[in-house]
Parts: sequence; C-alpha cells; structure tokens
Amino acid sequence: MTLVETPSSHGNHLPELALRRYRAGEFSAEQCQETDRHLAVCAPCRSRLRMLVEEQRAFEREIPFERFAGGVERARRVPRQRPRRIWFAGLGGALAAAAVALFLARTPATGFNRTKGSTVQATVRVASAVASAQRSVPPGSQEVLEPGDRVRLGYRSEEPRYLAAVSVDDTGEITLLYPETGPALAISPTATTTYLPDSLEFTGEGREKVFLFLARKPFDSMAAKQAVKTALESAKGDLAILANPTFAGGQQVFSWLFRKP
Amino acid sequence: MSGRQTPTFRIIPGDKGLAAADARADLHELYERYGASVYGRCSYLLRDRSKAEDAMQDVFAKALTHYGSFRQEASPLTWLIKIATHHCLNILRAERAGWRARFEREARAKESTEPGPQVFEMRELVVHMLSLVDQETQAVAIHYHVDEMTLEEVAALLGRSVPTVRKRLSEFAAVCGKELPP
Repeated sequence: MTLVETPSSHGNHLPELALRRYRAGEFSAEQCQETDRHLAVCAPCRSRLRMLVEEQRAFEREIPFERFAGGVERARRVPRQRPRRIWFAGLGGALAAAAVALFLARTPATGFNRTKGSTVQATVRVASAVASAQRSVPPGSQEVLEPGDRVRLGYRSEEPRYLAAVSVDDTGEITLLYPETGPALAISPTATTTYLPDSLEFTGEGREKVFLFLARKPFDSMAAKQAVKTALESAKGDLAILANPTFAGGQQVFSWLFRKP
Repeated sequence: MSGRQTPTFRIIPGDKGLAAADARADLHELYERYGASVYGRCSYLLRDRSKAEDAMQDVFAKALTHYGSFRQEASPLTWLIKIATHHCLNILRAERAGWRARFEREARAKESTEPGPQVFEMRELVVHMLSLVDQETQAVAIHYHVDEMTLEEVAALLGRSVPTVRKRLSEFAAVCGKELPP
C-alpha cells in the first residue's frame, strides 16, 4: 500500500467530496454541466453517485427527521456534558466483571424494592460530601442531590444475572455507566447486597435518571442504551414521564430520578 | 471543474425573528442534503452508531448556532465535514486510551483470522492509522485521502500552507509504511 501525496492520486475520477456536493445541489450550472458530462462517460463515478443517493435513503430510514430534529434541538439548547465518575483510590477506570466480585460492599438490606415473585432487588446509596451519613433510595424514587453527593448502585440476586446501568440527563445525553461498553456484566448469586465499584457524581444541572437492567440472558450494553434512547424519544425527552425501557431478553429494570444541585 | 461555487440551498436570515416553521423547514433541508454525509463521517471515525448520532446532532446544532457564518460558506457541505471531522477527532482524543486499545484489539483479531498480506481500502487504512499521529495530521489525512480533496483545498480548509499539508501527508505515509505489512 502506497500513500502518494500528489493531487493526481485521485485519478481521473471525481473526488468523493465533489460527488457529495453535486448530490447536495451545491454546484453552479456550469459545474453541473461539467459533472454531467463526466458522469455520462464514467461508470465508476455513476456508481459512486448512486451509492451516495442510497446512503442518504438509508440514513433517513435509520434516523427519521423527527428524531434528528429533536436531537439537534436538544444539542443546541444545552451542550452535552457527560456524568463524571469519582473513582475510589486504586480502582481505576476499567470495569470488568471480575472487578464487581472483587469490590463488594455488603450492607444490611434497607430501602430495597423487590419485584413481586422475583429474586432480584436493587437499591441506591447516596453518600453526602459534608456528612458521614448515607441514605438508601429505593427504585422508583425521586431524590434531590446536594453538592458533592455521591451515588452508588447496589443489587441482590439469588440467581445468576446479567447487569447493565445507563443514565440519561435533561439534555438527552445517554451514558453507559456499567459496563462502559461491551456485553452486560455477569453477576453471581448473592444473599447480601452487592454494590457496584465506584461512586458516581453527576455534573451539570437539572435531572438525571438512572436505569439498572438485570436480565437472565446475556445482552449487550448497547441494547440497554438503545432501549433508553427509544424510551426517551417516546417521552419526548421528558425525564418525568420516561418509562422504564425494555428490550428483548426479559430483563427487570429499576430506575431512580435524581435532581442535581 | 472551475468557477465560483454557488450553494443552491435556501439561505435563512439568521436566528432572530425566524418563525419556528421556517427554522424547521430549513433544518429539514439540511437533513436531506447533508444528513448522510455528516452522519457517515461521524460513523466512520467513531465506529459507534449511537456516538455518531450524538456527534452528528452536535455538528448540526453548531451549524444552526453559527448560521451567520455557515450561510456565508461557498460550500456548506465542506464546512460541515470539516466541523464533523474536528468534533469527532476531539471525541476520540478524549477517549484516546480506549480508542487505541480498541484498534489494537481489532488489528490483533484481524491478524489471527486473516494471515498473510492484508489489503485495506484506503479509508480503512486511514482510520486505522489515525491514532498514531497528531490531530492536525489526522485532519489532513482524512480530508486528503477520504474526502479526496486536493492539497490546495486541504490547505485552504485548514488554514495551512500547501507545503505544511504536504509535510503532514508525508509524516502520515511514513507512519503507515512502518505499521503496515509489506
């Protein structure tokens, strides 16, 4: 493979950007005529142009205009700001399934929500920056956070499960919390509460909604993120009416709504 | 092709005083003309549909926010592609460690499943080598090899001289030469 640094490296064909500009209607009448003449005798360029037309069709199928416009409007209103992790000393940023087993924090059961007929429970513990007291927050709750409050997610399951956690804020920014990418974390049965490694401190203003997915079957964390995205679109970006999202796999979903300081 | 480039899409008179319906109609026009190109650039660099969609929304949000300068552009598409490229490279820089690790993993996986000389499409070669060079060289390589702009066009777009662009391309070619199998 050779990379040649001369303008002639693109050969006698129309450059990619020129074809895109032609398709977008940016060319003058003179440029259009010149391009049309080339296309009439150049099958590869005609083929590339057809691909660009099809690319736009595929884009419109994948991202309908309403979704596009809503996302642009949200991005325009408030620049994206990702939740910031507060790492405990020695933990680092990488989160593997093994790490979950290594950093267990077991506490008596308080503030739990148990789904009827299930063996899975979830909770959140909030640690204050100014007081030593911690408080538990059951799923489905709304919680007002004070400056510096740190949030930690916990679960208990009598059976093996696969776990992912996702958060979304008022700007529509969706963040994979656990794991940050790849397949959901495989968790072992535990009779006591197990807290996920690291606390979370949410930056920015407004609200942040956190979802914890626990499924019997393996799934990819992106499926959870996509499910949140779909639910957010249905709720027109309003976290107050954002329902617990679901996707194929029969998972249980727990959620918390936080109002950031 | 020569002569002045004339964008044909309708120009709107700035943000203030715009009726919501007009703004929406103009956004729809941007969507139809440029949506796939911007989304394609973001997908190409970020390799993640969800991140690419977010980045694309950010780019169009910037276009609307800076509509005054955007509408002055001879080629709105070129402006959008430049902003999208810059935005995605910034995202990748922020995720540098994970990015490099991911490409290294992909490269190892490819080696294990496809022994022997590897033939990359140019755009695939470029994206695989990006993490090995600085951000300016990244932008130069993308605009030259992927967008197929001329040296002069890349230089004008990035506000650099043609010799500087040529030097960046030489550096990029040297890195690719070292990294690629013969």
